[in-house]
Amino acid sequence: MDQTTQNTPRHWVGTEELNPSYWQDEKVREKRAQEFHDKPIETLAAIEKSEGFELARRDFLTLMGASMAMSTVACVRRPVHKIIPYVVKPEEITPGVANFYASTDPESGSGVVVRVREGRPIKLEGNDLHPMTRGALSARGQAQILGLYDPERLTAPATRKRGGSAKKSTWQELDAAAIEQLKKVAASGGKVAVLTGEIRSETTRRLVSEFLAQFRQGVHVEYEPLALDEVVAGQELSYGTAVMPSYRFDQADYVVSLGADFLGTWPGAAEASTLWVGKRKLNGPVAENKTLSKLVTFESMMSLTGANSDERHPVRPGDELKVALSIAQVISSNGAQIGADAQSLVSGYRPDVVAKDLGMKDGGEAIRKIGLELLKHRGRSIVIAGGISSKTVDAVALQAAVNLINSALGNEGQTIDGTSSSAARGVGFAALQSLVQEMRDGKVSALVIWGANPAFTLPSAADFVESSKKVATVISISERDDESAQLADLVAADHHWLENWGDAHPRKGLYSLQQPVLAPIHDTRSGQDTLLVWTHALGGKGADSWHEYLRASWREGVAREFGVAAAGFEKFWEGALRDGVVDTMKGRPPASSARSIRSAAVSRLPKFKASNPEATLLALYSKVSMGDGRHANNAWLQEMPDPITTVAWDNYLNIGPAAAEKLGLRQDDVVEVTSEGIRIELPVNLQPGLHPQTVAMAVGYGRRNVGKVGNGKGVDAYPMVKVVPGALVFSGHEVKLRRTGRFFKLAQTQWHHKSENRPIINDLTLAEYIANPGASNHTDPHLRLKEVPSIWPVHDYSKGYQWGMSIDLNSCTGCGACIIACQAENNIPVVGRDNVRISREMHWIRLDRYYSGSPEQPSVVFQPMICQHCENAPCETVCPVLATVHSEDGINQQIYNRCVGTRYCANNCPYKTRRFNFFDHWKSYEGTLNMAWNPEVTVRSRGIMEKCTFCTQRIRDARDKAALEGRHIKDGELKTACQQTCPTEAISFGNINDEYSKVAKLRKHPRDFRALEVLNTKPRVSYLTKVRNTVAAAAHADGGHGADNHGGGH
Amino acid sequence: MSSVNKGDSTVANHRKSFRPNSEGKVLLVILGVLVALGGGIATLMYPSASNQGYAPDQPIPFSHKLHAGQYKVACTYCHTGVEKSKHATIPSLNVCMNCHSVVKTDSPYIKKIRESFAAGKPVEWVRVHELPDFVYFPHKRHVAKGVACQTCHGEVQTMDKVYQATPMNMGWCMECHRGKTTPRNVVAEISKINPHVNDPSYRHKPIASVQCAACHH
Repeated sequence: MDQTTQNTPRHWVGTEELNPSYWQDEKVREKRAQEFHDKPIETLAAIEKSEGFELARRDFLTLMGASMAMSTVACVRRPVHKIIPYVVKPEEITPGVANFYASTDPESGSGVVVRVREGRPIKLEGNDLHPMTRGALSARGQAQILGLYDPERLTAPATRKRGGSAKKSTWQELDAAAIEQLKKVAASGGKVAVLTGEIRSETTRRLVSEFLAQFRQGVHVEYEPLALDEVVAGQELSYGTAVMPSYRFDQADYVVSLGADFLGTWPGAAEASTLWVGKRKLNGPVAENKTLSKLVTFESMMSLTGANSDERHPVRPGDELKVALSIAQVISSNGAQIGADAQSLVSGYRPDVVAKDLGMKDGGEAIRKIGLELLKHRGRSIVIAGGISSKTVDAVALQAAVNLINSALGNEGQTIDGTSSSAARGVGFAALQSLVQEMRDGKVSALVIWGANPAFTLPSAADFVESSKKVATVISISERDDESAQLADLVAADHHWLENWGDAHPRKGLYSLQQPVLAPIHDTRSGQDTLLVWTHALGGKGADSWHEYLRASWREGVAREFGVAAAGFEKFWEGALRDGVVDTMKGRPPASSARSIRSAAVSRLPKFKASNPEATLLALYSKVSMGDGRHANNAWLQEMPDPITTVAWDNYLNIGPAAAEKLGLRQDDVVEVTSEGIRIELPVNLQPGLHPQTVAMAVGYGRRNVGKVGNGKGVDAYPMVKVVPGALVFSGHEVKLRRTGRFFKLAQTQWHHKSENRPIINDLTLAEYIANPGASNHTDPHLRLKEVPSIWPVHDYSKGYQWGMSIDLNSCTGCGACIIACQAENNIPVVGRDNVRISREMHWIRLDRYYSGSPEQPSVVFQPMICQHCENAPCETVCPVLATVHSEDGINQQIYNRCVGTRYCANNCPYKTRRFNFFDHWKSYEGTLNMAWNPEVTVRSRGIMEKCTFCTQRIRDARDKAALEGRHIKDGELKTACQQTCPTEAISFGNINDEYSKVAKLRKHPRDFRALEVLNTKPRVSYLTKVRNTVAAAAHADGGHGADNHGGGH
Repeated sequence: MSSVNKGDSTVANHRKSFRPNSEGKVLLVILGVLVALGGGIATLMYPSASNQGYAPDQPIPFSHKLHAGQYKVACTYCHTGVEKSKHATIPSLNVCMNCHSVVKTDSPYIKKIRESFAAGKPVEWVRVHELPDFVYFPHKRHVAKGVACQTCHGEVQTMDKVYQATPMNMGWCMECHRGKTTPRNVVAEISKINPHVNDPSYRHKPIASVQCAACHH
């Protein structure tokens, strides 16, 4: 009855699986039956030849020997430990009991709650009270706790001679030197520039302007490398207001994304995911829902948004504009008003012409249909564009085209809100470019770089580094001695944001407060305090400390807006500190109104021009884990496998399998990419779903001065960015590829822990689902084992709490926040690139990504795979020492202190969710990093098996709390770490014996299925089938839908 | 040294069936010595998990006999965490100073405490009761069910110098959780929510959690 087949599967992982001869290969069959897809020793032998491989086998045997000898010596004496109590215990601290503080991540503006044990933060979670993110936190947000304890942060202020190495200094010395220089500038009337990253705090911006007011000329420039400045520029062009609009995905039934990764790498992606998924839930809060919104994507690199779309078309970078204008042509010729000028312009963009140019073989049918669908969804649709992979020379024109369509469809003011968001400031390249020009001309006397890293994120053509040498005084306020701090004479060590005060103003009426949650670890000082000290020394007035400054600002600003008199301020302030947010709108989104479109924008739209069908075009993109590269020293983020490519630790050149074959490139071949004299060498990753003329690489890698973890990991892609007046062009330029003949083994996890070719995942089209909601349950009735006699005594699961989990594949966007949340909560170690290369990653959540359909245009489904907590657990029956046994509440327990490391359990796990500690990974945690461990979870040593525990420490905690209060645990009171952080509430956890619990209801949902149910493991984790809003089977037409779905087992 | 005894009995059994020659005897003696040596080394390397009887010297010879016994200061006056935390907690110096800013201020030890307090330097006590890192023992849950401090910590009120009175290994914990050594008042407390524990047929069933993950996570 085994379902294992040797046929081409419907859901595939790599394109090789689509080749029937692959399955005839005896070696492949053997491989797929093993615990690891590739035998570690053989892999090791192969990758020892790879570049960047540091783990020599002989070395680690020696290391192992040494640590063994040391451990035997250490055991001879009984350890004597000290207990060191407080001298005066703070009233609010009880050792062993966590305190929770609300704060705000200034990078994303999302509200967080920090769990603090004995004065040290150990976990970040989203703030439930924050109306925009509602408890969600992204992977990058989750990982900030490790960044706080990064041992390579600056520990004290430093001085340096230009270009030399940093010399430790004191604050007196640094302040004296800085003030002396600044006084000189003030006296001579020279210009001072403050260059920062995007500052979401109005108070901080005012503080900067007060600092600059001490000089005759001062300028504050904000710069974000991945800024959506073209969106803001497009808004200004079309509507006359420079804003970043809010997109109301919860109001939209039809969404067309033209290269906009709003679910993945856009700022505020967690919020967008929350809204978007509201229209994708088939289990509504009140009743069953049988409608889905539809998401259509045209993009160059496959992003999370593309992976989640119902229909995805790969294009070249820059083609997005053609698609937009073609859609405009369809809607205008079918009754929508876009204006005469525009109409005559778009007449050149007939769908058939554009489709032919794009290499689409349907004669424009797809584009025409999208246009007609959009017309059907007037006022209930969104066309959205923006992001670096479509940031070509025509980026603003693309925005103008998109705005034209949205206004013509009446989406403006309905699903697109450009009136309630606070005014956007230019955080793009334009302002920085004029500053660099002034620096080059010697017009800037002093430059303060704070929280920005232009020396890394700008291409050399932007001339920042050379121009900085013309500035007499360069001061850096920085957390680390990074590429830009290296240019400075004085480096004022900045706090981590968890050590600092602050606020954010994400939209009208909503203020979010940031408070320090621990005493500064090092001799650092917040950037705001530093500027205040200098402002005062130069004769400025006002509050002495940043804390007082912020309070004063709230007393006079925010509190007044809320109608709080000065006498009631303390109470208001304490409330804001407790909740983390204050909101005049009480969670409701503010009302918006439509703006009228300016016809002038049409003049920016280009006439149709055919593309060169030979050129290979480059698209740059950013990864959900790495972003612009500022957190490159964060090992959790480096080791997080990319949700799409499943590669950890490096960046690479993505190229379609067919295009690669043409060039003779294979996976992991190092290739030379050349564009206008800039040359980069990096390994190749074969990525299905790319246009044959597109290659893509991620920015944020190849840092030079970030720390031990991030330095030299991957290749810096920023040099590929082109500079034009007023903007940076990230994508769309032609590149030449050349094989170097070398190879670099990428730490790609897609083949690790793969099961044999058993159908493990389900998806349906909406039509199939409506016709038969339970269709996924009956893919093959023969293979559903209902009642099978067991040879083991059967547990009685009818009483008490019985924990179960349900994961909705329709809601899971694959953002990976759960992976990092789990890592932070459960002390999961980082193993390093070389260990990931040989299948030894330790993540308890494996985010499986499956493709279906053709490699040119695949559909994607994500499946978070964790320990399934089987009631008939195959691991339990083979453990010789009973280290893995079942608990009364239905949890498959892993008892570390009993485990002797036979690894039988991992061998016998059909889901391959068990992880083995091949080394004492905790030993690689240096100094302050050890403060990041969660004291509630054992730190595992070498030779121990581990896996998902359903956050058993949280269950214990909830049980203790409920028992002491003499009640039962309420549904929803207890959340696992992954469930808590999930932006789309894809994960539900609770007591399946309580018929009213959410998880019990979901387990009865017609879409519910258990992975590999045929094995009769009776998993406690169940999945809800993915349902796509596509026309039945169209996407699978060439993917072999049908017979092979049923396998060959019956 | 149970391994050695076992070895001997095996030898005795074999004697019935065959008589070893003198070389064999030498070999057996050597084998016996090796086993004994191995056992000895093993005992040295891996001492019993129990630290029962461990009574380290403390930086200040604080007497529980005097404080808890003679003056009847409640345990929770100093060990404030015991009802609300996993940890009973060792008192901070300001708790000592509550009394000792006026009581017995001329004692050299109190002087030491006062100096520590003034200097803001905590006293480093030597830990007596220590469970392995992979054990999570919650005090609050046990105290709430009426387990007396003395059940695990011995008659602390009679100790001049605190020592570990009980084995505090897993078998000892389990005896209580399985109902063999559970104090009567605790059984009575548990019977309020689980009346079956008074039932004779329930005798062999655990009265508190015996799930591994209750303590190991």
